[in-house]
Amino acid sequence: MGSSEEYWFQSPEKALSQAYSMNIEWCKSYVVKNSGTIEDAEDLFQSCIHVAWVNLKTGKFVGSQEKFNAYLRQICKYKWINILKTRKPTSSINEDRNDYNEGNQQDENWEENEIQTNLLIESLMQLGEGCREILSRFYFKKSSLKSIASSRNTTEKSIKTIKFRCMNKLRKTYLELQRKHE
Amino acid sequence: MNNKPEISLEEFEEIERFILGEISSEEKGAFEERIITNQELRREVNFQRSLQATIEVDSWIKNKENSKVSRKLISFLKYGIAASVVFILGLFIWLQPWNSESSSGDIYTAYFYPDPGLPVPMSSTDSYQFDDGMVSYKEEKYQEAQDIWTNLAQDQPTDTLAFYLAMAKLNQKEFESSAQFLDQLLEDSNSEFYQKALWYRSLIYLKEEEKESAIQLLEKLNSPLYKKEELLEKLK
Repeated sequence: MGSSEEYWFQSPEKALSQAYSMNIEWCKSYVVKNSGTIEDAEDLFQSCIHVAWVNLKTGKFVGSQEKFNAYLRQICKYKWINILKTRKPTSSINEDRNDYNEGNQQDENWEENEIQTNLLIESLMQLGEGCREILSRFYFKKSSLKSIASSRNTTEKSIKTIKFRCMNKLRKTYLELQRKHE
Repeated sequence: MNNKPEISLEEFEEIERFILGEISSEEKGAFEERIITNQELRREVNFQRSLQATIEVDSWIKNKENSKVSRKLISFLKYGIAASVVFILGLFIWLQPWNSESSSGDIYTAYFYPDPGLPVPMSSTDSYQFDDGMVSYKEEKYQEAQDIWTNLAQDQPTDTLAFYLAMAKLNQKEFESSAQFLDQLLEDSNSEFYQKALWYRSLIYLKEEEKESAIQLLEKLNSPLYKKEELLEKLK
C-alpha cells in the first residue's frame, strides 16, 4: 500500500457504505437467481464485505474501488456456492461454478480467508459492549481520545489505557480461538 | 499467524501510529524497512490491521441496522404517535389560557422545529459534498453535516451553506454561533433564505430572553411557513 489507490478507503464509513450501495442490488439479484432469498443476500453481503475489507486493509487485495467491487462479488459468489452445497446438494447455480476465479489477480486461499474472518468475528463478539463501543468510536468513527473521554467523564489517559486493554483482549481471544481451531 | 501471546503498550502504540498514518515520513520509512526485515513485526502489523478492519465492518453493520430501525421508528412516529401527541398538545394549549409568566425560552421550545433540509438527488456530481452533508443532516448527524459544510464554506461560501450551517448548529443548541450565520443572511433581504433566517433568528432571541428584538424580526417576516401572528400575539 502507499499509492494513491489507498485514498478511496481512508474513511471506512464512506467506503463501506459505497461498497454496499454499489453492490447490494447485484448481490440480491445473484442470490435470488440462484435459489436464495433477499434476506440470504443481505446476510451473504455482510459476510463477504468482511472478508474483502480485511483483505484490503491487510494488503492481500490491492486495487482501485472498481477492482474492489469485482473482488467483493467474486467472494460473494464463492461463499454462496459453498452455502448452497451445504444446504442442498442439488441446488442449481445458473453460472459457471468456477467463475469466481475469473480475472482474479490476487493469489487467494479462499478457505483460509473464511476461517480467519470467522475467528475474527467470533473474537469481537466475545468482547464486552463497553470495549466494543470505545474501539468503534476510535477506529470507525475516528473520534479523538479527548472526545471519547469527555463523553464518559474520564481522562484521555484513562481511555488510552482502556483502548489498549480492549485491543489486547481482542488479540488474545483471537489467538486462543486460533489455537483451539488448529 | 504465529503471533506472540503478549504485546507491550509501546509496541502496540508504535504499530497503531504507523497503521493510522500518525507518524512522520522519516519514521514511516524507517518502520517500513523494519517490516521488510522483521517477519514477526510484519505479522503483528497485519494482525493489528485485521483486528481494526473487523471493528470497522462490525461498527458499520451495527450503524446500518440502527439506521434501518430508526427510519422505521421515525415513520411510525411520524404517522402514528406523533399525530396523537400533536393532537393532545394542541388540545392542552387550546384549553389553557396562555400563561403570561412563561419565559421566552419556553416559547422557543414550543415553536422550534428543525428545518427539514433540501432534497438530495440520487446522483449528483457538482454538489456531491454538499449533498453528502445533507444526508448526514437528515439523519440528524448534525456534527457530521457541520464538519462537511464548514470545509466547503471555506472555499465557496454561499447563502445555502450559511443557512444550513446555522441549522446544523442550532440543532446542537449552539445558539450563539448559529445566530452569527443567520445575522449574515439578514443583511440581504433579497437572499432566498432571508425569511427562514428571520424566523430562526427571532427564536434564538427568545431563547436569549430578548423579547423586543424577536418581535422586531417577526414583524418583518412575510412567509406562510411560520406561525408568525400566533407567536406575536403571545409575545405582546
